[in-house]
Amino acid sequence: MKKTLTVSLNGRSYELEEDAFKMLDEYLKQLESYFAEDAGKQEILSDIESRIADHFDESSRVRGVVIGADEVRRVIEIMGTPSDIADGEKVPKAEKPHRSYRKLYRNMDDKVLGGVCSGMGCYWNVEPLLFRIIFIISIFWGGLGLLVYAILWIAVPPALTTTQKLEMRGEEVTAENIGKSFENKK
Amino acid sequence: MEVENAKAQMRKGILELCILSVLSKGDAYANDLITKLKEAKMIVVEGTLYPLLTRQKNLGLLSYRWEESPQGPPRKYYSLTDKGRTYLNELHRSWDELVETVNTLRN
Repeated sequence: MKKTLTVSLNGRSYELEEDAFKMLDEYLKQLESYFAEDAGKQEILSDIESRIADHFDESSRVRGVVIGADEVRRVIEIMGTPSDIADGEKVPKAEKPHRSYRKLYRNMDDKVLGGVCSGMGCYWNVEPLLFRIIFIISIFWGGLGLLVYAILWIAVPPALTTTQKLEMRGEEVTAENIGKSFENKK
Repeated sequence: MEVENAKAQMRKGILELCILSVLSKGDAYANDLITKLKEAKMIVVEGTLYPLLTRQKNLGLLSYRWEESPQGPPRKYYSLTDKGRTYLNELHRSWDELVETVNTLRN
C-alpha cells in the first residue's frame, strides 16, 4: 500500500504516489533555481509544467490512474534536467532554497505548566529537563525564576497548529512534513 | 568531449534560427515545434525550447494567442511577428554567409 498525493499542474489534477511526488517536487525546485535569474522564469516554469501534464495525460488517459515514480522519471528524462537544458553550458550553482529556522513556541504536547521549558528545549535542541531544573532552582533565588517564567508564559505563543509545531522543531513547513506530523499523531 | 561541447554551442545558436524558421511557415503550438525540432535532432530534451520561446517572445520576435485544443485546456499558439520576420531574414543572410565562409576555408 502506498500513500498518494494530489497535485495540480496547469489547472488539472493528478494523483501521484508519494515517492513520485517527491521526485517531481525536487525536479521542479531544481528548475526553479536554474531559471531564478531569468526574466521569464514564471512563464517558462508554467510552460514546462503544462508540458509535463501533457505527458501524464498521454500515458495515463484513464481516470483514476495513479502516477508512479517510473512515470515521473520517464517524463523528467524527456523534459531534461537543468544540466541537460544547459547543454554543456555552465549551470549556475543551485543554492539551498530556504533554510528552515526555528521559532520559540510553548510546547503544548509536552508540558508541565505552560510548556515554556519544553518549548525552550525544542528551540535550543536541549533536554527540557535542564530548563526545568534551572527554573526550579532559581525560584529559591529570590523568586526571579518565577517572574521570568510568568513573563515567558504570557509572551511566548503556544504551538497549536501543525505549522507552528514544525516551526518549533525547526522543520520545514512542507506538505510532506505536515503529512508526517499527522501520521505521528495517530 | 571538446567536440561535444562545440556541437552543443552550435546547436544552441542555430536552434533560435530553426524556431523562427518553423514559425515562418505557419503558426504552431509548442508541441508541434517540439515534434519538428526533435525529428530534426535539433533538441534532445524538451525543456530546452521553453526558455528560448519566452525570450524570443519578450524580444517581440514572436507572439502567441490561446487556442482551444481538442482535448485538455487551451494552449499557446505561437506566430511570428513582423519584427521576427525581419530578424529571421537577417539570420538567414548571416547563416548563408557563414556557410560560405566555412566551406571556403575547409576546401
